[in-house]
This record gives sequence, C-alpha cells and structure tokens, in this order.
Amino acid sequence: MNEWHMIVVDGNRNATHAFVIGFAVGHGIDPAVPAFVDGELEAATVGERLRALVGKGHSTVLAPGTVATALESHGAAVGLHVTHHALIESVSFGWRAETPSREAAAKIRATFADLGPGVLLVEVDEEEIDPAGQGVELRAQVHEYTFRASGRVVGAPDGVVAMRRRVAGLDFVTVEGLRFDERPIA
Amino acid sequence: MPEGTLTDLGTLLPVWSALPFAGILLSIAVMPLLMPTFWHHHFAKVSAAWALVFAVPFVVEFGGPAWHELAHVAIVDYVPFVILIATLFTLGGGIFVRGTLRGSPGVNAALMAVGIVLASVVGTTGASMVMIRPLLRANRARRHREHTVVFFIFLVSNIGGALTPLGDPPLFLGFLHGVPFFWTLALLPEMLFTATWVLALYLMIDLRLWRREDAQVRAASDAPRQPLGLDGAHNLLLLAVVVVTVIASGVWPGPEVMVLGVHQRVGNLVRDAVMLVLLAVSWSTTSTAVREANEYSWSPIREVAILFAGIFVTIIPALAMLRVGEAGAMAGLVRVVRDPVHFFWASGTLSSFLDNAPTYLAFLSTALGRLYPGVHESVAIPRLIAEHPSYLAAVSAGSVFMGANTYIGNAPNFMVKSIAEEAGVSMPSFFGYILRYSLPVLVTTFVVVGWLFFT
Repeated sequence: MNEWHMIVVDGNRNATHAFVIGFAVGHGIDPAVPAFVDGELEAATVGERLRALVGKGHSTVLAPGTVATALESHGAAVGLHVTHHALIESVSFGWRAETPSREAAAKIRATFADLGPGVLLVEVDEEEIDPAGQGVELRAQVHEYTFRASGRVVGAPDGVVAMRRRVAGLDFVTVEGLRFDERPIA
Repeated sequence: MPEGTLTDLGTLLPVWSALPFAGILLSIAVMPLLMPTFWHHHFAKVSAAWALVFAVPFVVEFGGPAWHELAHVAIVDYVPFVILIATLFTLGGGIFVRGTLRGSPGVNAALMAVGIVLASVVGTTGASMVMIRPLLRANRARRHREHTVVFFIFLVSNIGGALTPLGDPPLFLGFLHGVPFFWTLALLPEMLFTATWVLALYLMIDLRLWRREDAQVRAASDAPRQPLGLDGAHNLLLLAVVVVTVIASGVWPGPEVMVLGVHQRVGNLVRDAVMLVLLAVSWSTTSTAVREANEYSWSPIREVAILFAGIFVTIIPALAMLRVGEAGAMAGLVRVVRDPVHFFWASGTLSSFLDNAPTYLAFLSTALGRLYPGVHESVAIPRLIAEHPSYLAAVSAGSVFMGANTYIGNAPNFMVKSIAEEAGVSMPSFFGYILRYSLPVLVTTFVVVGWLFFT
C-alpha cells in the first residue's frame, strides 16, 4: 500500500475498531493492515492513555484513504466523528538501550538487523569493557561489559509500527512514542 | 579508661557527634545508586573520610579513653566480624551447583527453599552467590524472570538469614555483643511465617506467569540433561566446622586476656584463628574452576572490610548515647521508640535504606538504654533476653527481614541484581522494585508479622 492516512476519531474505541475492521473485510483489505496506535503516540498524555485503556475518548488509526473516507462519510451514524485526518509521509520512533548482558545485546542487535522493507535505522551504538568490573561485588558493582545504543527507526507506517511493537518487547530497551511526518489532505 | 565507662561518654557526647555515622550510612546507601563508577573507585576514601571526621576530634577531645574505645570496637567487633564474613564468603564461593534444571514454578520454589535453609548456615551473601546462578540457568528460556529474581532477593538474600548469627551480619554482631548463638532460633516462628507466606505468594504469581510462557518452554525438553551435583562439596564440611567453632566460642568463652588494653576472651581469639585456618584450607583445596564459575573474587571481602572499618568507628558515639537512654543526647529517640512493635518497624524502616548491621546495633542499644539505662551490655543483654525477649526479637526480625525492602537495604541485594542483569534479566528500577514488589508483597506481610508477633 502506497498511501497511508492518519485518522483521529472521536468516539467509543471499540466501535471505531469494529467499524474499521468491518470496512476493511468488506472491501478486500487485509484486516491486519489498519493499525490502531492509541497509547503508542509520542504526544499521548496520561489522560489519553487512560481513556485508551478504558475504550473511551478518541482513537488514532493508520489506514488506507478509503477507510478515512468511509469514517468521514458514515461514522457519525454510529457516533464516530473524525477530528483529524492527514496523509502520512513517514513514521518514526526513538529508542535507547543499555545492558550489561552480552546475550541481551545480541538480541537487540539481531532485532534491529531485521528491519523489513521501507524501514531505516539511524543508530549509534557502543560497547564498553571496564576491566575494573570483573567478578562479583556487593555495593561497589560496575559491570565489566556494557552495551549502549540509541537510534531512530524511520519509514513506512506499517513497517515502523510493527518494528516498534517488536522492540517494545525487548528487555533493556526504552522505546519512545510514534512521531508522524504528516501532510494535510489537499 | 576502663571498660564500662562508655556509659559516661554517652552522657557527654553531643547529638551531632553521630553525624559522621549518618553520613557514612547515607553514602553507602545513595552513592552506589547515583554515582556507581565514582563509588566503585573511591568508596575506600569516602569511608576513611567519615571515620576521620569523627575519630580525630574524638581523640583530641577525650585522649586515652577515646583510643580505648577505638581499640575496643576494633578488637571486639570489627576484626571478628570481617573474619567471619570473609570465611563464610570464601567457603560459600567454593560451592558450585551444576546440572540442568527447568525453571518451572515448583523447581524455582524448591531452589529458593534450599537457599532459605542455606542462608542461615552460610550467610545471605554466600547463599545468594551459590543459588542465584542455578536459578538463572533454570529460567534462561523463560520470558518472565524478573519476579523470580526479586523474590529470590526477598527470601534468600534476606529473610532466610534470620535463624543463626551466621545468617546475617546484624545477628553476628548481636552474638559478638553477648546474644547466645541458639537464641536466634527463637525467631523460627516469625521466619517460618514470613518465608512461607512470601514463598506462597511467589508460587501464585509464578504459576500465573508460567501459563503465559511459550508452549515449548513449558514442555519438558528432550535435550540431554546434566545431572545435578555439587562441586567443591567439601566446603560444606568446612562450614560445619565454622558452625561448631562459633557455637564453641559462645559455650566456652575461656579466660580473659588483654589485647591492646582491651579485654578479650581466649575463646573468641581461638574462634577467629580457626576461621582463618578454614578460609585458607578452603582457598587452597577448592578448584579454580569452581571459583571462576561463581565469579568469586576478594572484592566483596575488601569492600566489607573497608566500609565496616568506617561504620564501626563512626558508630561509637551513636551507641554510647543510645545506651545511656534518656540521660543521653538521643533521649528523644529512646522516648519515641517504646514497644516491641515500634522497634520492629523502626529498625526495619531504617534497615530498608541503610545497612542493617549498624541499624541492628543502634536499636539494640536503644532497647538497652530504654530498659536498662547505664547498665553494662554484658549484664543488660542477658537481662533483656530473660525479661523482655520480644524487644530483641523485634529488632532482629525488623533488621533482617526489612533489608529486603529496597536494593540498598542489604549488600547481597545489589549483588544479585547485578548478576541477574548480566545474565540478561531486566530488573526493575529502584522505585519499580519498591512500588511493584516491596510495598504490595513485603510491607503488607510485615504489617501482619508486626501485629501477630510484636503487639
């Protein structure tokens, strides 16, 4: 899919999901394609996250333009109102990792080595070996090995959203929210 | 200044003379968290600085009696304490549990139960070092591991050490100050209740998380299994000799001799000599492979030796003021902490954030100052045990159990966290540990323990 739209819908979250997935199935779109990214946005406030948890408030959906058009035309009938609609050029998220575990570092590297099509990684990483950190210590512990990395994943919305969900499942990695590079609908 | 006149000193010292003691405890608590690299390289200087801030004016002001106090604390407390810690750590570090284990809830709980028993024999630090690696190996394939390490810290690194003076440094200090070796067994009901309850909570949580693991993790593996076994098992025999030696020094204290002007029992000197021999035997007879597998090094012993040198010097004014009760500058504390349940929570709350060994000594002295002000410890402690044992039980249980409340409450907590992180377990942050585990699991348990046993 070439064109991605970000649609912010005001209304019951479950109703939005049902509408979008139902529309997708009815129009031959893979129902896994529309991405519901509530709580994953960079600017999400605590209130927004809480509302997303209880299914109230508004939903942010990444989907093809036909879904946006359908929501704008027919959503009001079921209490769903589109409050924001934009064309998405790209999506990105920042991340950082720090671990004293070689095994965890290898997993992190392997995950970012398999980015998928249309996704780029701007990355800085480093390994530090501290000879003073060998052996067991009590409170004066420093680690012999430390892997530090940080970066930004940029690219097509579907690939970036999927990547963010994989990265969020990794130990020792802190993931930032999704940031959209959007263009107003002409 | 003859022994016993510490009482007089306690009435003379101002409250601010305890500031270096507060300073060193706060440094030990906070600096490894806020500036770990600085602490790693400079903790000896920090410890020495706090010790000198107290010791220099103390000696200048009080002269000979001050020297005597410093020599007394070194000979009676510090040297035996460091020798015991070094011996237990070296013997414990010579035992390696090998074999393939599957990290199911039952196996994890069994490993922790073994660790709890071991903790009272080899000390919480030694037991943590011996048992954490088999536990991490067993759980290597699991996705949910953090909670297992946290409960290991609760049970093996802290609560399990409550039953003997070998189990946790505060209890050994109590032993050095005259608490009989077997008296700590009186904590069995508190310890059994707490350990069983916390272990049961762990099992409930782990069973739930076990069901969420991938099917291949839960299924029994067809891969070849290494049978369970112990390397360096002869160290268990040496540990038995440690137990007998410590008990013997309590049963047969022997005649008194003067060491640097301080009265010391021959039995204690013999005990310390035997410990050093056992340490040397363990070191020379245990294979290097076992030590390497446990990542044994002298660093923890060096660390204890340096930090406790500072602690034992700076604790002198605090103990002296507390022991004279309301006649000293710390009368306010003595007046506020009155009942056993107060002692349980006060010693426990402070042990949650400061090292639990000096905290135990401070509250033992507070109890003595409240109940037997001005009476020498050698008389006051037997009377405390005979007349008000619940005070000592409350201080012991509070200091030992609540060291688990934070990463900084007890030295092995940090060690276990570090070993687990290096093995790829993402451990909770300092506040995450408190909010997600200590408050809901431990503090609620301690509310029940305090109500059941100390009110």
